[in-house]
Amino acid sequence: MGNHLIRYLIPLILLIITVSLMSESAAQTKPTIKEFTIVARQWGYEPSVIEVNRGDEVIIKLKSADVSHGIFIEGYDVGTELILKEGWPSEKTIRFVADKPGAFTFRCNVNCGQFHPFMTGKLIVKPNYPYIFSSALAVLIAAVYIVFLHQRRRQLSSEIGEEQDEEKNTYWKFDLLQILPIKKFLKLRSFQFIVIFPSILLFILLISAAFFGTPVGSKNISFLVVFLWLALLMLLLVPLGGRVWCMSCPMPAIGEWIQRGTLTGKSKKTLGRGRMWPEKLDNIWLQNFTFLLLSTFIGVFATRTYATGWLLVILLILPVIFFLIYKGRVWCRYICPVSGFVGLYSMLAPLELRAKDRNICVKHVGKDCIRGNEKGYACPWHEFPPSLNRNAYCGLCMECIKTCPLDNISLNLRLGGEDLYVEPSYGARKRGLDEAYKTFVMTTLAVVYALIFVGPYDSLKSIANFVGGAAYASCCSSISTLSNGVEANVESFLPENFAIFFGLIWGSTLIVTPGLYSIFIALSRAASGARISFRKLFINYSYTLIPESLVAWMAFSVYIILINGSYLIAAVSDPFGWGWDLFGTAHYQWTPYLTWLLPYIQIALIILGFIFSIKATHEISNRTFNDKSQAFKASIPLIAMHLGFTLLVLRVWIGGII
Amino acid sequence: MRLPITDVFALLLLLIGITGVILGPFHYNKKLLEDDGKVFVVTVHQWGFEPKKIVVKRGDKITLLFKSNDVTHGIYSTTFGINEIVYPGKVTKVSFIANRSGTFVFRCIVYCGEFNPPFGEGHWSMKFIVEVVE
Repeated sequence: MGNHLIRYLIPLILLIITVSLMSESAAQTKPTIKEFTIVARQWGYEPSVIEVNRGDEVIIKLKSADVSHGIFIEGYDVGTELILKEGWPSEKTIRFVADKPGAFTFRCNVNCGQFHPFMTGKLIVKPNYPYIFSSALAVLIAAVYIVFLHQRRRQLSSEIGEEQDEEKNTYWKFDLLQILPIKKFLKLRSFQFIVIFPSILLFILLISAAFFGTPVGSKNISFLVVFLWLALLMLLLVPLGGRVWCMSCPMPAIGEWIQRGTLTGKSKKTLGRGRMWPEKLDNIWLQNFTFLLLSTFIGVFATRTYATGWLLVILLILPVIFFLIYKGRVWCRYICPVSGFVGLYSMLAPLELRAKDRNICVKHVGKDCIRGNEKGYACPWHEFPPSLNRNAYCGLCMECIKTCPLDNISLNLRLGGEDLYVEPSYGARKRGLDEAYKTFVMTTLAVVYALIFVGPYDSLKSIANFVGGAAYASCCSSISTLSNGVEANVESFLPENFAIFFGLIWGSTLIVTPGLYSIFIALSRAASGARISFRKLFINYSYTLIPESLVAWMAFSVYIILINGSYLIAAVSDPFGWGWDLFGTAHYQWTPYLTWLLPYIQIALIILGFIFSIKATHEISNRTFNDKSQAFKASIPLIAMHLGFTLLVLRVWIGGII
Repeated sequence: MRLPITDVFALLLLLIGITGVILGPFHYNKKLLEDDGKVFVVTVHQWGFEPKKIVVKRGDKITLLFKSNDVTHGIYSTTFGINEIVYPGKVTKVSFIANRSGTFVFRCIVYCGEFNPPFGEGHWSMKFIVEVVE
């Protein structure tokens, strides 16, 4: 019965879903003229979602309820600005033929205050083919995988006794240290200073711009660089280079220089107390906490330059304390809010630092890499380089390349890799719930942020904007104060909104997602029929979320970069918003790039992540269960979960509305 | 303690770099406005001007740099023939010679909301005063 269930029933269900998705597209209607009156206000549109059929002629009349606004429809790239100058029209009209199907974000293109960058709505041109076909594709991939694996398992079980699955765990590698100039550069004692120097200068410029530049985010280099950098980090730096950012990160630089008492040299004695980090905190729970703390205030950081400025100052000064108390880069490894997710996703990166031959290290008595010698410091990340089998906590500081007297460290470009599947340090340590919860935090927020910042949901935006926002309505209720010249747009703290947003961020990441996830784990455990601890399954399978949550962030990042990247062109000429024109680009208009291609890039990324998550599920199942049949059965609920998440991400980005 | 030569060099680079990055922009900004006579930076916001009033001498060349930190505003004066839109994040530069003495009111010409619509507050009450004295 169980066999038949898997063989026929599941593919059948999946096929039915596919067909029903497709049939939605069959309904065709005659093109008509569709007219909408959209009222813009700080910061949203009414209505915020408009639906038309393909071929319809769309007429949008834009009005404003308060200040000057505009509308720009990404993908159709039509828009208008409604500047409420006295004597000018108080209504603007755009007309176009909705010939492209899909969901299109429209946004305000006239700066209208703090939440202006997130003043968005959705135009949905039905039938939404990109969404329908990409969802169907995801369902098909899941179906094909299950059928294919089921077939293979039957074949395997018929060939009893043959050790088919002893696949050699090798993958393609190329040691970058074979290239002499690279090796020489990395071996330079001043290597770290050289890569940190430009980034620390930029960092200080950003702090200066945040405090002294214009508070209008899109015209302030500080604000733009911080957020475009975050997007770039997620889109390219981490997926391609893992922790290369950590290599040149300016935040711990001051602390490390003080701790070492030198900028470029190797000192014998280090300053500070040099304490060891408490064993109880030898996990990334603190990083989960700091990341969630920042996330709680994302609505403030993402809309106010001074908040960005203070954040940068804190991130530059706070690490110094930890460098003075503890040994090495305790800040980076255990506390830094950025480091947590960079480490998590670096495990997918095609760059790794590993010992060339572990046997050599085992025999080598000196262990210079953890003791340090005259050429370099002991691993500041408290790793034992020969035991590295995951990228997670190797900061690529290159000290071990300098200290190893046997030249036994390699910096590999790689294809593949097993970081997600294995226990740290070749099994000498165990994976814990801390990393599992990091994946929940990242997976959840990738969706929550997309809904808040790009979705058409005004209520979410006003909750996130718990400082100020509609505050002047509640704080300055007496007109006489206005006449007396009291500033009307003072910031005020809205405790109800804060409480709801706090609950949303912490509740969704720490309760809802883990809760849903544990249902699938329970199903998986039941399906496998094996006696295995729930906790072990819970932890092991959490790594399968990493690829698909990374692509959810990448889909977000590519959106931010293509839509808002052009602000940077104007801002390099006028970094402080003081009216300069350094390179003649100060008047470059906001121009979203490649809006026609954007949804397809996102679809490609999301589907790719889904495939990688399926692969990870397969690998982890096989390593968790001794029996192949159990492994296969256990993986099916997980595949269902990944399919569900992928469909959700597709729904958010390509479907337009939840 | 003896510093290695690379450290001395690095420290020097760092000091020069940081000083340049912090002070450079202010220096450049000051130089940029040298020919503009008397320069006043005026922030326009919902709903008012900061400073609210400036006092200048008759015959002076005046440059006003209007900046908005919130929404789109405007600046309007019939006396000096000024009629400009002030976009947030952009600097709207207005130069004129104060050739008449008296008190002149500049208004906001772009509707920027009001607190309690029927009472005509908010946008309608925004005033910037230029007093030209002999």
